[in-house]
Amino acid sequence: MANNAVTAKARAVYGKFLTKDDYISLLHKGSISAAVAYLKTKPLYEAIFADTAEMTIHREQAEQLINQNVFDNYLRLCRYAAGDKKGIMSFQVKQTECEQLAKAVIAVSAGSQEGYLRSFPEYMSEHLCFDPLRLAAAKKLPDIADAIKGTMYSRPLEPLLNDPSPDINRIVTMINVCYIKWAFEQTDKTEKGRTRELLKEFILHKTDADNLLMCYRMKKTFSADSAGISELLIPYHRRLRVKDIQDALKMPDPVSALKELFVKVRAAAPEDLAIPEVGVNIADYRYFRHRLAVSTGETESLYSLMMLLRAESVNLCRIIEGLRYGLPPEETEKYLII
Amino acid sequence: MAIEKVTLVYIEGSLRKISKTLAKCCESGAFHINPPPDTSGTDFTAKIMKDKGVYERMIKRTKAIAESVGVKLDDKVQHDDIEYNTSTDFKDYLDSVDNMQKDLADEKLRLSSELRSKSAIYHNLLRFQGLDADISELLSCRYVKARFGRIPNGSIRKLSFYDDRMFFFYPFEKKENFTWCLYITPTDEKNSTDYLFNSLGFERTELPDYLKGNSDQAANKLLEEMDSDLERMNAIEEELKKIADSEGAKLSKVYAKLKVINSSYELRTNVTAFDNKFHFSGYIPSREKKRFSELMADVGDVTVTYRETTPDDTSAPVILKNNRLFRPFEMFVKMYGLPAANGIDPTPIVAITYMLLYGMMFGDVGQGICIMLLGLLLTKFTKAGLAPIITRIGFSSTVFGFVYGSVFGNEELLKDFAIFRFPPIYSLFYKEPPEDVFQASTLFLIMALIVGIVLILLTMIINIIVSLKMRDLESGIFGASGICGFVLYASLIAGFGCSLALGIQIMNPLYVVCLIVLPLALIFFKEPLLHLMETHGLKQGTRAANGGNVNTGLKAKLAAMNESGASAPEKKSVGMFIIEGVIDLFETCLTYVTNTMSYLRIGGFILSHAGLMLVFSIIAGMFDGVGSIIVLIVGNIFVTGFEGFIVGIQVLRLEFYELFSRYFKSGGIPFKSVSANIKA
Repeated sequence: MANNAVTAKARAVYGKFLTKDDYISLLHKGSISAAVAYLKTKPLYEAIFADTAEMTIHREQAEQLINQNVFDNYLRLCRYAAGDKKGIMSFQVKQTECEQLAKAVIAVSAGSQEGYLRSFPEYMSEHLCFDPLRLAAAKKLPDIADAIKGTMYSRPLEPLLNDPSPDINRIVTMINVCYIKWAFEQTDKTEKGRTRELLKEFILHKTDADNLLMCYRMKKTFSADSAGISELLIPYHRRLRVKDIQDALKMPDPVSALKELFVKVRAAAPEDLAIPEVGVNIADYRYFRHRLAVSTGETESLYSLMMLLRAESVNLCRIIEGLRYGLPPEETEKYLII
Repeated sequence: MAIEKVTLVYIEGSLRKISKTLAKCCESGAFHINPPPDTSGTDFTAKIMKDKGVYERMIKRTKAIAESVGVKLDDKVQHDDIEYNTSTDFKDYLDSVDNMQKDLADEKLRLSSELRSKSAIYHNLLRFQGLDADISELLSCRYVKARFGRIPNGSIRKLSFYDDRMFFFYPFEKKENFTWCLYITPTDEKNSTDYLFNSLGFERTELPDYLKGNSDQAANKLLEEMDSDLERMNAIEEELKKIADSEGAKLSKVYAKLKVINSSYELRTNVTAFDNKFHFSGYIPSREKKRFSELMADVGDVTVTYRETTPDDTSAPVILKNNRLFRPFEMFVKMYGLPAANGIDPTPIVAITYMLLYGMMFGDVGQGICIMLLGLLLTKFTKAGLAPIITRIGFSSTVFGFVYGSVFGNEELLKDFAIFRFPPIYSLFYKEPPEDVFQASTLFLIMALIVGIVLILLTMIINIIVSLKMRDLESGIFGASGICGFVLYASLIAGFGCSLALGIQIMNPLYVVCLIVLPLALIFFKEPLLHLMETHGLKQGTRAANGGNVNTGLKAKLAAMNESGASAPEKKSVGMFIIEGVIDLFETCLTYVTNTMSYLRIGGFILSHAGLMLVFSIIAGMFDGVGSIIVLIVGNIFVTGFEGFIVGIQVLRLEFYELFSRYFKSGGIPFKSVSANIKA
């Protein structure tokens, strides 16, 4: 009974998602205030923005509330899950943890810690395994190593963070590896049978996309060689084996070959090279939307909903950013996962 | 049992008297106004009078004044003693009342707005309790800027990383998600600090710079000011109350009179003006003629002409007139559509058949009494139109409960009274008296069929009478429910009935040819026969007394089509005529069978009622003592509600589909008294 109820609730939450028409309306709002006022009228966002004065809202505050909304909605739904399934909540927390860690590393290496400090999700503090304020206060990469001491990230990341000439891409890859290892352990611990297989499939689905995007960017932007790229790939896969990518990179026209690999992960190969992740994200979105539609188990439906909620928050943050910088609606629309 | 007789009234008079005449029409409460005649295409040029909206504006103004002084207006109040007649009279009066209250009302409005604003500031100040600095001085500093507002709790921790920035942060009241706070920053750093705080989700609250002293002192000062404002408000309220006491009653009367006058202005769209005279017409119930004449005599200088309507006047509005027993069933008739003015009021037939069929389908003494009591209670405490119907069907159910010997589903108590145990009845079908309803099922099903046949024949007779009265020969003679249909149906029933029930073969060749084949042939050839009758002077339809067309009957329809030039009557080939005729005949015969079978549901519901109660009796038998009684009570409530409701719908279905479709001719215009047109 609870099984079906949670799936039904997850589908009901998806039913409240913004439609394409909503996105078009938002894109054509003249300001962040107008966009927030519009979101206040939507069932999924009215509660989070209810207490906010939209006339004075700042971009970073709006983005943070949108992300917090994902977390709150997911947390609310996970409460309905059966006792032994409550662990599904930790996937969301762990993903956020890894994202924050990666953002902090990139911010420190780019010298833009203040921006990170303002935008890190304070509402997640009590759920994370490290103090995000210490992460935000980091001036150098070794400070980050200190901040994560005693956590599951410490051992694999410490040598990379303390390296006098650190490789940011390798650090980010290692953070992803940490997540996958943790996710697999967690899955083995809490799930069994078909659900366990499915959950691992979900995790690896994302890995394929990350690997593909990594080598596409490295090849197009930095003209990196095959060996260099291979070191940055996450050593896990679902459909896209590392060997396939390496073989593609060795071909005379590796970019065309990489485009073929997009087909393997069932994503549209990018026409605009500046935004290769959009096609992959759209493929992901459709995949999880399908999984939610056909789901018969609460783990499957909750994980799918988590991914869909994240995609919607990404869209909204892009729209808010577009409004903040006065981008034409059609320009922002290219980046939307719809 | 009738459609009330109405009288056509023509009124004409001097244009000066138009307002008073229309006001009197409204006052009569029994005048149905006709739309203005269509004079396009004629030499007669009349203009339709329209209102300029002056009284509408005055009504609004009266409402505004009343609201301002606190008077509750009543448009039903007697206003004969108000002598104002022109718009200037009303305007002068409203100006005088307005002068009395305007300054007070304006001051009240201003004070009310100030109070709201001060109250909001006061509540904001409470959030900064403990601020030990003069607020007005703080806000008027030249080299530093102070910002009051609230910040998300999560952002406060982040502030510790901005120690190097030039601002001072003071937290005050802490809520679940926000903390009310103040930050002070040098004027030079204002922009960057504001940006930082905004990006951390700070929302500014504006405090006015006239607030003297610290937060507590400023709050106390505000409270004093608010008390003083409230005192003044109360004094104003008192003065307004005095005005309300002195002028309230008159204001209400003026309002009522304005409404009546204004409604008469709305009616002017139905009045034509020509040669400094107005003309309009309408209908009144004939019984109101004397009272209406007296009212018109009060106006003076108007000519009122009465003309009794004839049965052929189809444009006359319809008022149903029935006695107290049948009147509630008018609701069902109106639901289906009012009868044509020259038709008949079917309410008594509906009332009798509805009660009869309901009782037959849901006969139970106990449950019937409960339904009747429910109906009486609803009639007493509500205005629901269905309530009196519930009382009547409850009574019918009780009567038939005795016929079936059923009391709250118990078939034993009144067993000996049950109709199926009377020897003359049961001996027709059984050798021994049946023990219960189920054993008498054949009797009930045949009884249902007989009821159905009788009702079908009855409705056919009514249709013949109504159609011939309306000179609709197609329906009255050749229709499926006309004379031919009646003979055909009655002959088939009699033939099969005698053969199956009594074993008498009456369907000999002569019987078949005269009573079955001949009616069928007449129905088949109805179109050429109607044409033939017309050419020999037996014209269908008639001209209405008021000159309008009465569109009854096939020929009248064809004539109307010809006159309007919409389309010429279709010429049919012989093949098409035969195909249409055969299909028509097949449909007619099929309808006889299905309509007759439809009445089998009466027997079905008798059995289902007994069956449902039997189920609850068995369940009750599984319990002892109180449990058994509870089951029986719940069962009776369920069956009364569930079956009572379904039977009600089924009977209505029989009324509308099986009975009305045979004889009812709708299309009547409802009588709408102009007084009921007054809009608020």
